[in-house]
Amino acid sequence: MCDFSTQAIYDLRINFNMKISRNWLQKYFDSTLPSAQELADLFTFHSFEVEEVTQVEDDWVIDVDILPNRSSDCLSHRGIAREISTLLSIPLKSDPLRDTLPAWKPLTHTKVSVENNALCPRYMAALIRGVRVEPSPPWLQKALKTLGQKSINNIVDATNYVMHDVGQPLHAFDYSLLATDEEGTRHLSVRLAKKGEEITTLTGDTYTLNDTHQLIADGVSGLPLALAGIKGGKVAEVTEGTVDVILESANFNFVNVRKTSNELKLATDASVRFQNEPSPLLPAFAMRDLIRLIEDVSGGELVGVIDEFSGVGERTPVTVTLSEINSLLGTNLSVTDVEGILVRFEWEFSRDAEEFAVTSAWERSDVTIKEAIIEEIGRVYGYSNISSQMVPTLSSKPPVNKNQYYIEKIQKTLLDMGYSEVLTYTLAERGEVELLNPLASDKAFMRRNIADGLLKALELNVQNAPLLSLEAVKLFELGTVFTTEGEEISLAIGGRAVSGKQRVIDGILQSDIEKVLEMVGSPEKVVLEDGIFEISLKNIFALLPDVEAYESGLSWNTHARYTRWSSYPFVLRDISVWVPKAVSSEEVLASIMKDATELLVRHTQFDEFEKDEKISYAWHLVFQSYEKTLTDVEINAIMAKITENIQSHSGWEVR
Amino acid sequence: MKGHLHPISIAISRINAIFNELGFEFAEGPLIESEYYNFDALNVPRDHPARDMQDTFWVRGREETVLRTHTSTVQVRYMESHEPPIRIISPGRVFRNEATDATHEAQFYQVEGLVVDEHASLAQLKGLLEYFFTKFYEREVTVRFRPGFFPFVEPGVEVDMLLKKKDGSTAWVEVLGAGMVHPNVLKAGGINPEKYSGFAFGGGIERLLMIGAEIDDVRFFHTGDLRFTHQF
Repeated sequence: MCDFSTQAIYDLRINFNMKISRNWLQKYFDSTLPSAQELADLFTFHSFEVEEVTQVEDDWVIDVDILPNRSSDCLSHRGIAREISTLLSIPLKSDPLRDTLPAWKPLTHTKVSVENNALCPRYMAALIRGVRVEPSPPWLQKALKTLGQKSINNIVDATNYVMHDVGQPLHAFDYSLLATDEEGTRHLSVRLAKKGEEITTLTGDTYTLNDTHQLIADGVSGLPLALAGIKGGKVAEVTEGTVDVILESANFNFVNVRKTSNELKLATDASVRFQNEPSPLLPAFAMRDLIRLIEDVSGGELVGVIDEFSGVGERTPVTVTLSEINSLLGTNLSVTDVEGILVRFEWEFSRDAEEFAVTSAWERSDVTIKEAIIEEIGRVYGYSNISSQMVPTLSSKPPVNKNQYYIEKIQKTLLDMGYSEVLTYTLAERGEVELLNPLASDKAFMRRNIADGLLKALELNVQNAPLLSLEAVKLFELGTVFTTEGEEISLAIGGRAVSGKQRVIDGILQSDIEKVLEMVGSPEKVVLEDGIFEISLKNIFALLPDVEAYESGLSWNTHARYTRWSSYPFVLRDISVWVPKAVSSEEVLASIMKDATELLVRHTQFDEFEKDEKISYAWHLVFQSYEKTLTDVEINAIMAKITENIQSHSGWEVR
Repeated sequence: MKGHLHPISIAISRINAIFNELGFEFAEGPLIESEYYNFDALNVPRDHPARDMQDTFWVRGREETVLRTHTSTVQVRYMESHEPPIRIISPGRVFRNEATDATHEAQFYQVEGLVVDEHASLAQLKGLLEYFFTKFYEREVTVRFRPGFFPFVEPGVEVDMLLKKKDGSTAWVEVLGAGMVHPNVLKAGGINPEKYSGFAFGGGIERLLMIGAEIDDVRFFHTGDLRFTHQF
């Protein structure tokens, strides 16, 4: 069975994939973690979807589809480790986001200016002198390679490693490539680009910017150094010759990053993280880890750190009562149960009788309302532990939807008259309502009528009529049509003769449609156009009486089993046979079937008449293959075999 | 000789019949919709990444007007003019601006369900969906929830069902998105979230049919081809 896309579900979703290494996670725990597959199951039922689990050398990689509300804390190994700690109730060995921050020396002769604090709430810069840019040590190369990341050099790899560890995008500039002013000061300026300003990124692509795109620029030379929160530029790229590096750990406005990323069609690991609104507290923790790692793998030494920080709002506790939790989840949790779960998050909370006041950890910017706390409790408790309940019975009956009631009535009437229902495209080549961003020029409008679509359906199905054993194709469609005035329900009914005369079909249509119109009380005169009649039901339905209850709904053909039809053309042959009067058509058909092979996909008897002591039967035989286009030679051979078989009976004759 | 009805029509009629018995009203909304009902009222703010989650068609010459991308638009419209207890079911056509293939269509059908009451719960959502699927597929169906995210619900869940296939095997398939109605959505509908809670669910009708009848191409539903319709 095919793998269904998620499109047709409910979807309003933007999930981000994050590759997680089991060995990397293990560094966070003293106790041995469950297997990668067990972790994947744990995530699936308590946290997020898992795309796949793959073995990479002596490690396992879990590809996790992080939900949008968890993208601010879980696009990192630390975030996933924290999640495991909560779910399995096992402590973290240490937590980089809880360990204390060092007091750094300030930087002299380097300055950072932020033009708009709303677009850049925090910008930290650290200067490390005396680095040796060289290939990363094997453990670092391996850690990145396991996640499918390319190893560049020890400086770039360190920024990438810390980002995958704690979730903070980071960047490094070559300090010596920044211009100095008359006092020998270098200057990083976070500012909006000028309209038309260009930047060439590390990968050599040049982008032309507008005045809403934010840059990190050289405040002295004015040259753009990086697209803020998205990608570094060529100008101050770290290369083999780099000795002094400026490290960036910042927080950029999520809306601005998202818009810039969309407009430039440039999505990066950094932009994906920033557009999910990570906390502006995070950069300091990441900076600490990055400095340590760079000192460790490149031998440099920290000179000092600048921190331009506009501050962060106080987190206020969210109150939620036990009965609110149980009412929304449909559970019977006790105070002790809830406390037991909250403790596992290691969040601050207090309890007054059955009311909890909870302050989630600062990196969980998504938990701000009580429903979010209830969700957290519910998923840790486990949705599988929630038992099904039925909705209570209501005292009153719901009103009947008049449109639906009369639509079903029309459907049943036409069904009994031998009409089949189709649904054709709403997006059409012409109409009164036009789309701003159509998929294709023949789908640029909302349909004004159904007739255009029905006409095409009639023509299509006439081609296939022998396959369907139809002497005439009779169709209808009920659906919405669009005018400048609004939307209305329309009914179109049409028919096409296959072999007989269209005049005859038109006559049948005329009387059938009159019956339908009479049923819905319409005095409209039936005028067929190209064998099709269409009428708006809006005013007709408005005049029909309200109803108390639905009739029995439409039902399935319970024998229906869907099979895909062949995409190769079919071949139609007729056969007429004279047999003695006593021989039934079933006997003759059995004889035909005997040698017809599986290529005979359809047979329809179309004639039967007696003459003297004989009777004549005739069939349409439809041959079709699922594998190829059938040739005349192949069908002739089968027909010859059938003929031979029939003639072998005494008194049987193929006409 | 009788004709054949389109499987979507049969499905809508059956969905309505099953839910009508439980007190659900068949509610409708326009296909050309304001951005307000399609996004803002459903807690999908402007400038939020969730706004990019769906590929949307806009209508030329009309301010902030779209082809509805989901039937969830009916939720707030209905709540505005009705008091709890609310129970609605709303099947209908929706549109997505994306290239079509065997599993993607630019137009398809969704069905939305909404319950707002004093004690609407996830447990009731689970029970209701099990009841519905068992009736709809005329065979025993078990439902399970996984954590999910949709801006208009909190908690949000992905709904899987365990269904027996033609060959006798069983497998869990993802079938709906659902959850407890977000307090911002209740507020947008004029309902006090301190007093009432709600749950909502939604999914593709083609998908329900494709799973049940094991149909391998979503495009057959809208081609007007009787080789398809005649099988139902």
